[in-house]
Amino acid sequence: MTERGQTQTLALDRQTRRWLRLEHLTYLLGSSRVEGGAGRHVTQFCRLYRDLCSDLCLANARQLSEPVIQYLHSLVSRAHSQLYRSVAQPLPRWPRLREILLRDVPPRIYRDPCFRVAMVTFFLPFLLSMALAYFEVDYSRAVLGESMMSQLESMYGEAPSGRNLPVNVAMSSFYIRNNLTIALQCFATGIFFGLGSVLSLFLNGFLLGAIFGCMLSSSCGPNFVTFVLSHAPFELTGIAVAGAAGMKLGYSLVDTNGYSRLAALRRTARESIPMIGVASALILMAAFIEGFWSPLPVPIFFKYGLCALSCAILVVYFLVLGRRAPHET
Amino acid sequence: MSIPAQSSAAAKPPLDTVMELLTPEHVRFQYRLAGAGSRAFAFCLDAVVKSGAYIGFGLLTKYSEGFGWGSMLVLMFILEWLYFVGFEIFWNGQSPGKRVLGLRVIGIDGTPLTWQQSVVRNLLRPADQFPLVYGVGVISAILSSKAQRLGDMAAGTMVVVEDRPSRMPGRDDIPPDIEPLVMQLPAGMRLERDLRQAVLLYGAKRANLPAALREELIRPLVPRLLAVTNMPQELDPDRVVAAVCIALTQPTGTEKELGRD
Repeated sequence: MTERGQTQTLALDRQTRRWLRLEHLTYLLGSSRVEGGAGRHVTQFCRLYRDLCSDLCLANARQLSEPVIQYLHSLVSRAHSQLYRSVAQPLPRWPRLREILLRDVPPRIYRDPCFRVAMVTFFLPFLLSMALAYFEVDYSRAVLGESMMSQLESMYGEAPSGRNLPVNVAMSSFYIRNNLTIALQCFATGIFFGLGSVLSLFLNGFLLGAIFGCMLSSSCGPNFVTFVLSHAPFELTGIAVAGAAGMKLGYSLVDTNGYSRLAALRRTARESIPMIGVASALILMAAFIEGFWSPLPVPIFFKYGLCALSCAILVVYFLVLGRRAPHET
Repeated sequence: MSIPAQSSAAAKPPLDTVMELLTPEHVRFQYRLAGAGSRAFAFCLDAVVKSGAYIGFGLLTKYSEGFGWGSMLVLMFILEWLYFVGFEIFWNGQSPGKRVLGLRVIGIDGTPLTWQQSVVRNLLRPADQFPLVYGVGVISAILSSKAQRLGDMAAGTMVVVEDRPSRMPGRDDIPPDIEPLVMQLPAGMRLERDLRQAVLLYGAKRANLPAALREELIRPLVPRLLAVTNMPQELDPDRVVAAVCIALTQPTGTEKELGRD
């Protein structure tokens, strides 16, 4: 090797060593396995990262070969995402979670026009459809169909007589999966300018209303009431809240509040996470009640009691807590 | 925070799967975006992992009737809705399928994925799956400049290919006795940009190319190279290109700056 060749190898080697060192530090800092001497690591990391940035500029300007440039790009990107972490946002722990659930979310939902629209979109067709099905058998026959009606009647043909534990567990799991999937789909399809949420709230309200009305007017009405009463408030409200979150998502694309449409969507999506959390919690509670409590052969008085209690909880949560001044964070 | 580069010096960004970011150090660096194809493949791998979990769990609980069915439903729910969120949070933007294919979800400003972003992009999967087999998601990814499906747009994330070369590209396959040839090259040799890039790329990949392919690849380069370098025609073209490549990568006065300490 000539002298020229040797200098080059040496220079490249020093450079390479710096890059490899940075690669190693990026890995170290990323794996949170840095214990003692973390400060020293960080200082060195920053210096090496700045050097790397100028190396990349020079490499571009000098038109070094493509693989070297690609390597530098990938190293810069890894080090960059290590250096410019958004402020670490751990999953909220209990005290903060309680604050979010009890102080942040209720006022936000209470003041949210989308929530009111969602409640109307869900409960108005529900009540109308229930009244129609209660007074007109032809209506429920047209909406539900003969086979579904007879299926429902066989389901609620006899009074709840209690079940064994495994069946309760299984049924709860079934309701959790089924209802949460409905609610989350109702939220997600809201991104189509809210249309998915509106449609899904409307259709669910309409269908559930028909089932309620049809069963109430039939011979097995009392059985149906004792079964459904306890979990209905949580379940129906949960679906409405999820729909409201979806409608908010869609509405943010229309009224962007001065942001670009995409930025508005991003903001709203992040804000809707606590709402989805509340909706999921409501549906989870409803599913456990539906799985374990609803089939119990207890006097109807207790079922009315639980229904009243859950309605009271909902009123306190959405109206009393919601009316308080929004919590500034 | 870094801001996404609006458009580089060129008026129109190239139609490419590369996303450029401008760092506060005023360096532009690039991410390679993952296309719909590799993401679909990663999704299929994840589906295989999930099916494996179902089968394993089913075998484990097959004798506990009732409970087995119930816990299977819970597992289905968890895997349907929390599989991606969980892996993306704890594996920093990767699920098993993405990890195998070297994909990673990151924020559009190049920052690591936060848990909120992961929740949003995965809760919105039903919208992307509409009407079937991710129809909306695929169309959205094709139309979006950052290959985002709707969930990515709402979360402010993108999926990138992480190329992680195992080691620095080197020049360890220098043909023997090339130095005299290098010394014969004219001192102030100047190559046009495309020719220079082609030579350098060839130099970097030469070790992995079979001889027949080498010859085929450099045949179009040789006349131009010979014209620039005034070398005799009868030399082995491969050696000429290699020599030029070595000459190009040796530091001139300014290039030594790159190798500073």
